[in-house]
Formats: sequence, structure tokens, C-alpha cells
Amino acid sequence: MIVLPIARGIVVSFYDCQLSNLKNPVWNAFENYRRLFRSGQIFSYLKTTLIFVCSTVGIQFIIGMCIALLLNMDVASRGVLRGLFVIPWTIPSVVVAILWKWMLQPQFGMLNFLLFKTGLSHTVNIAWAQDSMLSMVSIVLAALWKELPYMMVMLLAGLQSVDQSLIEAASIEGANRPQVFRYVTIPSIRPVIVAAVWISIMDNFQMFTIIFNMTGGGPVEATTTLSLATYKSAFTAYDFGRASAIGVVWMVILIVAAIYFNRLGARSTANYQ
Amino acid sequence: MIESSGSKIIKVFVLLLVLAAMLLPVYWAIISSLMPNAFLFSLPPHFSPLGGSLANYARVLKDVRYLVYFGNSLLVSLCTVALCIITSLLSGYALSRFRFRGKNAIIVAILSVQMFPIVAILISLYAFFNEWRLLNTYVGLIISDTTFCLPLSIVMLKSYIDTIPVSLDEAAKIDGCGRTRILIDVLVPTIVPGILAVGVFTFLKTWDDFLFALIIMQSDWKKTLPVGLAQSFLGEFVHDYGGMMAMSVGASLPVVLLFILLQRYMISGMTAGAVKG
Repeated sequence: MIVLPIARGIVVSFYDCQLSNLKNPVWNAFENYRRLFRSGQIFSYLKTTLIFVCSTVGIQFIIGMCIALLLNMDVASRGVLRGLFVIPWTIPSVVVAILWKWMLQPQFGMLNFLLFKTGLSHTVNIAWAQDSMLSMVSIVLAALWKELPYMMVMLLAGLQSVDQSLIEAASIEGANRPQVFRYVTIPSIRPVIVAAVWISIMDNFQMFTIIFNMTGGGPVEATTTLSLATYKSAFTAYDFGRASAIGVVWMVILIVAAIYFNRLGARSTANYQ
Repeated sequence: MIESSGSKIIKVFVLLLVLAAMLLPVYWAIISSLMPNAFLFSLPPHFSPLGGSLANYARVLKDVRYLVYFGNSLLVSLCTVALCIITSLLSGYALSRFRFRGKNAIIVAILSVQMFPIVAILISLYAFFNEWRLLNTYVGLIISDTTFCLPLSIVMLKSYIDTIPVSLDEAAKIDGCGRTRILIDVLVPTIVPGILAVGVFTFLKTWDDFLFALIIMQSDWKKTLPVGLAQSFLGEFVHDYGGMMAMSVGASLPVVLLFILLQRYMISGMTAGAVKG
């Protein structure tokens, strides 16, 4: 189920395989790749993907860590609060896309109204879908809202597994709060951080549903990430060779990233075991 | 560390504020689904359900298509859950209890499957399914969904089985149990929380799946809820926001309820793979 499609994908990426010659693809000597690189499109897709992934994962990590730290103190009803926080994560991605599209609706959207009322925006009709920058912001917002709970729950579980005696020892030695956090908490939950961030990077690299349903990759190609580009070349333009070539480039990038992250994870466990 | 009560109150306040912000979209979806379209298109927006009625729900339910989509989603999700639990139980057991060469390589391979780009794999999968006549069939969609839920499920169940002492297996073996009996009668009852976690997790992921269903299911009557929802409400000129929100709430309700009921298992499952493994 996995190996076969990947192998076929790699093979197809070297052929001229379009709707007109689906049955007998022709070898076209790296033309798919050459065209992708020469036009620079692959770089723009990659850049869009990286902007989306980095901003989503980065903000998610910071806010997730803050909420996890707040929940980690002695709150009476931590279980209930945590449960309420996780609700957005359970909502289907399509619904998330639809809901955010409705909230960001240019004329009657609730968010536009709130931004206007709080003075953050001077107009009540922000056209989120028309501006390339704003449409990126809108998909990041939606993805962030859905995935934040997952990050928060993982980090919270990590925080609760921290050995309390270490923290006590550090405070007795005279470490203040930020120091305890920096030198005790962070190192002991480092494997959890690496895992949570890695899972989040993977998910967002793959992100299709929210982007496809909110912006469809537009305006022009402002939100066309690698996954959208692959989908569009394959199932809108029916150029399977080109789509597979994008897929292969994407896989290579991921493998390199995975090896790097694996090292990071291995190092952190080696240091703190 | 002892905290002053003042700073604690501030912290709780901040926490509740963030929570309110997180739940605002949910509230917005619910009240939008309760208002007639005329009230939705107004500025300033109504923050409480004005003229609240279930008319949107009634209108949406009258359309048989949505019930069919719902049924399709339920069928595919439940079959995927069943298939996924059985497969991951067997492989989790094998990976946890048997010693064989290349075991670690297999675990790494299973985990790396998760990161391969689904869209890229789908292109070739589409061609294969076309040859095998699996396009537009429930079986095709269930197999694809299962494949992408399996890696996490296997690792999760393996880590659960790892926590059960091998001595339990040995005791059962001495009492004359075979491998199958040990798995079914001894291990399964002790890892019920793990199995539930895998089940809910798989259900959530499959219910959420859009991409596979979009490409594999082409006839209108076989579409699942997410695809049906997106294709009927996200067109350029669709303005039935009330009905759209009613459908959205309807589509989210099963998973949110499931989550609330099984929250305990879910959260242990969400973190099991990463924190323990």
C-alpha cells in the first residue's frame, strides 16, 4: 500500500505522463524536474509551505507552552478545563475551514467586526481572501486554532511527568522561576518537545483540507503549498509527471529533515538519560 | 513552589480568557446555525441567537443527500476502526513480544510512513485503484484510511502491551494457553484503555479525512460528509450560511460527543506515542 505507490510515483516523475498519453507515458529525460526548477515554481511552493509551517508551528508552540504552564499549576478543575481546550481539535478540518471562512467573511464576518470595534482595523470590510498576505494569515489562524490543543496536551503531559524533586532541589539551590524553567523543566521535557514539534511539522507540511477549502491555493498562487501544487497538477491539470516530480522533491526534503530531527531527538535522550 | 494568591487569580483569569477565545468560534457556529439567514447578514453581527429556531436543521435534514453522506461517513469510519484495531493489535503484539531480526527497522519504517506526502502517494494510488477497480468503492476508501491510521495505532498498542509484564503471558502459557488465547483472553482485557484510545483516534482521523474521500469516491451517493459538505456549501455563489453552519454542527457533533465521553482514554492515547515512546 505504501511502497508500491511511492515506487510508481518515482518512476512516473521521469516520464511525460498526461491525460492524453496516460496509457503509454514517454521518457522525457528529467523534463518535469527541469521545468519545475527552471521556472522557479518549486521554490515558490516550497517557500509558501515553509512560511505556513513555520508560522503555524512556531505560534502553536509558544501559545501551547503558555497554556500548558498555566494548566500545570494547581487549578481545581484541570481535567474539565483541559477537556474544553481540546474541543477544537476534534472538529473536522472541513468544518474548521467552513467556520473560519464564515467568520472571516468580508461583509458580515464576526472577526472583521471585532477587529474594527477594538480599533485594530480601520475598516470593517477586510477582504481576507483577496490579499496574498491576509489569506496566508487566515489559513494560519484556522490551522492554529485546530492544532493548538494537540500541542498543549502533549506539552502538559510532558510537564506533569517532570520530577518534582528536581524542581525543589533547584529552588533550594536558589534558582528563580525562569532559571528553573530554563535549566530544569525544558531539559527534562526536551524529548516531548521534539516529538510534539515534529508531529506538528509533519501535519502542517501535509496540510491540505483547510487550505484547499479556504483559499484553494489562491489568490493567484499565494497559498499554494507543496500539497496544493501536487494536487492541482495531478487532478486539475492532469499532468501526472509534473505532480509526481513535485512529490519526489518533497519526499527528499522530508527525508533530509527527518534525519536531522532524528539526530536532535537522539542527542536529547542521550544527554538526559 | 508557593504562589501568592494574587498572581494565581491573574493566571486563572488569563487561562479563562484564552479558553473563551478558543471556544468563541464554536459558539459562533452554534448560534449561526440557529439563526435564519436574514439575521446572519447584518452589521453589527448578533452575538446571541436572535429569532432562534431549528429551521436551518430542518431544511438541511429534508435533503436526503446529507443523510446519505452521514451514513457513508459512519460506515467508512466504523469499518476503518474495526480493521485498524484488529491489525494493530496483531502487529503491536508481534512487535512487543516476539524477538526477531530487523524489528527496529520495521518500527522506524512504520513510523516514517506517516511523513510521506499523502497527496503524492494518492496520484499513484489513484492509478492502481483504477486498475484494481477499487475506485469509487467503500473497500478502496477503507483500505486507504486504514493504511494511514495504522502507523500511530500500531505504535500506541505496542507501547500499551509493553507495559504488561511478560510474566502474565508466561503464567497463561503454563496454564496451557496458546498464543491466540494469550492475546485474546489475557492481553486484550488488560489493554482495553489502549484499544479504546486507538479506536477513538482512528474514528476521529477517518471522520476528518477529506483528501482520500475526495479522490476515491466520485459518485455523489458515495461521498462522505466532509466532501459532501465542502462541495455543497463552498461554491462561489452559495449564501446559505445558516444551513452551512447547521450541517457543520451536525458533522462535528458525533466526534465532539465521542471525545467528551471517552476523554480520559483519548488524552492518554494522544500522548502515549510521544511521551512514553
